[in-house]
Amino acid sequence: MLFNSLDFAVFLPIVFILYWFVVNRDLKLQNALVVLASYVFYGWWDWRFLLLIFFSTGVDYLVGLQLNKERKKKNRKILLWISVIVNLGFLGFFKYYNFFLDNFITAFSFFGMKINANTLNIILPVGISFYTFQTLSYTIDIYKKKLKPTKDFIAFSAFVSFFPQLVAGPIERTSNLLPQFLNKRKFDYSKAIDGTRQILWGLFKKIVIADNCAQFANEIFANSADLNGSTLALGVLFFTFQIYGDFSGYSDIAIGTARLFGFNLTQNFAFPFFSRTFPEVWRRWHISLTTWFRDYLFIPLVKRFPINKVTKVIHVFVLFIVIGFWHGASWNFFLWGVLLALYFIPSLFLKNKIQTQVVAEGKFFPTLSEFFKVLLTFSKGSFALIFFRADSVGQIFEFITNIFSFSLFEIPELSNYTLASEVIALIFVFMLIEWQGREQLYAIEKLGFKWKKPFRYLSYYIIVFLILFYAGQEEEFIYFQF
Amino acid sequence: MKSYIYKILFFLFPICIIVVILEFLLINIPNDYTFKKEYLDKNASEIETIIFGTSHTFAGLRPEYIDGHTFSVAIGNQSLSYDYKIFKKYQNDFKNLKTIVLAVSYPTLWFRLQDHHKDSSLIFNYEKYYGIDASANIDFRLEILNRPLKLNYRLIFQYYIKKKPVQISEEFGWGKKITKRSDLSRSGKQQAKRQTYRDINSNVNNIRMNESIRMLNSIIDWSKQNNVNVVLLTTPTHLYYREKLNQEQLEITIKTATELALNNENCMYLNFFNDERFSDDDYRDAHHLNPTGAAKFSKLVNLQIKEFQ
Repeated sequence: MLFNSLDFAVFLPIVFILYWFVVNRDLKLQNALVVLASYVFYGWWDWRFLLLIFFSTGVDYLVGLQLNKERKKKNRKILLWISVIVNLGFLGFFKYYNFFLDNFITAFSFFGMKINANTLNIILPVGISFYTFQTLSYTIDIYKKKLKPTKDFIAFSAFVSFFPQLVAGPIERTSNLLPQFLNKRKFDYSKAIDGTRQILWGLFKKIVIADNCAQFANEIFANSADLNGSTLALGVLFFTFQIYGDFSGYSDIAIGTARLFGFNLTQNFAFPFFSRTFPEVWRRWHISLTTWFRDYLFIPLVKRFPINKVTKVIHVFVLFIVIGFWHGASWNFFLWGVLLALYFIPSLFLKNKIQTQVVAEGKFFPTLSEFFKVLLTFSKGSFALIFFRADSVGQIFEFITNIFSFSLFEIPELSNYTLASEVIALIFVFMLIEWQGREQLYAIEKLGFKWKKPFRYLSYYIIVFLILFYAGQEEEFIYFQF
Repeated sequence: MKSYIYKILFFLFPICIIVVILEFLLINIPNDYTFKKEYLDKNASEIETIIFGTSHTFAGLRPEYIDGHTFSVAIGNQSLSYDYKIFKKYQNDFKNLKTIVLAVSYPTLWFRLQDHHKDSSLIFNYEKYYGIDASANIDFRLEILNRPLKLNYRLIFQYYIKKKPVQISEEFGWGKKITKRSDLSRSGKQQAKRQTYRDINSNVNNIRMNESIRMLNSIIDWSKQNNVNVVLLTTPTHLYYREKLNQEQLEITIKTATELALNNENCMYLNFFNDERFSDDDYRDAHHLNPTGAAKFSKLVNLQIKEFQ
C-alpha cells in the first residue's frame, strides 16, 4: 500500500479508530492490531512475502531468547550466525543472486570457461533491506549484551513489522522502538497534531516536489545520449530534488503516522542540502542507515583492526562500498560507493572541527563562505547521484562526458519549458521553506506559530491545494526497490 | 482525542465539499468515450465499415474518406483487448456491417491496457463511459483521481467556462489533433523504446501474444459467418521510428498478420509500415500521421478496401 494512495487514506483512519477506540484498553490487543494492520499493509503488494517477514520474526525472536539463556561463547556465536545467515540469506537471495551469478558467468567466460546457469526471475520483496537490518540489530545487540530480549512475541512482531516504517524506514533501533511497544501508549493531542502536520509535509515533498521532478529526470536520463550538457545538468538537479523529496517525504509520512499512534521514530533526514562538508551530509542524509552502518560495521572494523592512516582509508572504502551495494546489486552502486568514499577520505586527514550545528544557526542569512561551502557540497552530492540514477556504467561515463562539454553552455532542450519553469519555481519555494525551518525536526514544524490562526490554517490549505493540484497517478517511492 | 478528530474533520470538510463538486462537474463532461458509446448505441445497425485500434488509426484513418457509412471506435491507447470487448458488446447490433478494420501496430500483439498500472485511468473510462466491464483492479473509481487536479481544472474551465468541447473526435469518430510536428528523431526513438517489449519470447509475452491472436481469430470467424471482411492494417511510420525497433518483435507482428490474411479468405492485410509515399510533412510525430497525412492514407486504404470487396 502506498502512502500516497487512496487505499492508505481509507486504511489509516480505520486503523486509527480501532486502535484508540476499540482496543485501547488492552496493550496486547493494541499490539496485535498493529501486527494485523502491518500485515495487511504489506500484503497489499504481495501477500506471499508475509511468510518471509513472519519467518524472519520467528527466527530472531527465538534466537534472542536463546542468546539470553546461553552462557557458552561458542554457542552464542552459533546463535548469532543463525540470525545473520537467515536474514542476510534472504536478502542475498532476493537482491543479489542474479547479480553475482551474472558476474560469475562473465568472469569465467573471460577465461574461456563456459558455465551453464540460468538467472532466476526473482521479485524483490518490498522493503526487505529495511526490516532485515532492523531485526539484525536486535540479535546483534542481545549478543553484545546491550539489550535484553523480549518474551512478548506480539510486541516483537509489531516491532519488526510496524507499518509506518516497514518498507522504507527509518530503520529503527530496538532500544528506541521495542520498549514503546511494551509500554501503554496514551493519546497525546499535540503529538497527533504534530504528526498530521508532518504527514502533510511529507505528502507535499513526495507529490509536489518529487513526482514533478521525476517527469523531467526520467525523460532526461532516458535520452541522455541525445541531449546537450545543460539539459543533462538540469536532469541531475531534478533527480537530486526528486530523490530527496521522495525519500525524506516518505520518512516524514512514516514518522508522522507513527506519532498518530503514540510512537516516536528516529529522525531520518536533517536538511542534508544545507551541509557544509561531505561528512556533514552523511550525518544528515538517511540517518538511520548511516548510523546503522557506523555502529554495526564501521566501529567493529575499527575495533578489530588497528587504526592507522591506511586502515582508516580501507575502513571508509569498505563502509561506503557496502552502503552502495545495500542500495542495489549493480556496478553503478559500487562506483557510487567508491566516489562517496573519495569525497569522505580528505576529512579523515583534515583537522576540521566536526560540525554538529546547522548552518547559520540563529540567523536567516548565511555568510558568503558558508553559502559557497553549502553550494559546493550540494554540487558534489548531486554529481554523485549520476552514478546512482544511471542505468549502466556505460551511461554514467557517457552522461559525465556529455555534461562536461561545450554544450553545457547551450540552451537546455526540454519537452515542456512552462512546466519546467513551474517546477523550478516550486523547488525554489520549497528550499526557502526548508531553509527557514532547518533548526527544527521538519521544515513546517513551527511554521506560522506566531501568526494568527486563520493565516496558519491558510498556509496548510495552500499546501493541501498544491498536493491536490499535482496529485495524479500514484507514483511509487524510489526507496521501495531497496 | 475527540477534539483531534473534530479538528481534522473541520479542516477536511471544505476540501471534501470541493472534491464532491469537482467530481460532479468532471463526470458530466462529454468525452471521446461517451461520444463513441452514444454513437454506437444509436447507429451500430447502420455502420458499414468500423475502424478499431489505438491512436495510430484514431488519428491516421479518416472515416469520411472511406466509402459507405464508416465510423471509427479507435482511441488513444486502446489495446486489442478493448477493441475486442467493444466488438463483443455490439456484435449483434452490426446488422449492416461489411468491413472491420483492425489496427495491427508494432506493440499490438503484446500491449494490454489492463497490464499497465499507469493506465488505470483509461480503464476507468471504459467501465464508466463505455459500460464495459474493465475486469481490472481499479481501487477507487473517481474521475477526479484520473489526472492531476491542474488538468481537471483545465477540463472544467474549457468545458464550463469557455464552452468548448473536450472530446477531439469528429463526427465519424476520427481523432482530429492539430499540433505542431514534434521532433521526429526524438519522438521516434522514445516511442520505439516505449513500445518495445523486453524478452519478447518470455512466457508472459507469449501468453499475451496468443491471447491477441485468439481475439483476432474470433473476430475473423464471426466475420466469416456474417459475410464481413476484415482488414488488418498497419499504419505508416517514419524512418526514425522504424530504425529503432526490435526486428524480432516487428517480424512476429508482420508474420502473424500475413498468416491470418493467408489463412482466411475474408481477411486482408494492408501493410503501410514502410510506405515511402509518406514524407515528413505527413507526420505529427514519428509514428502518427497528421490530418493531411491521414487524408492521404485514408484514400489509399479506401481503394484497397473497394478492391477487396
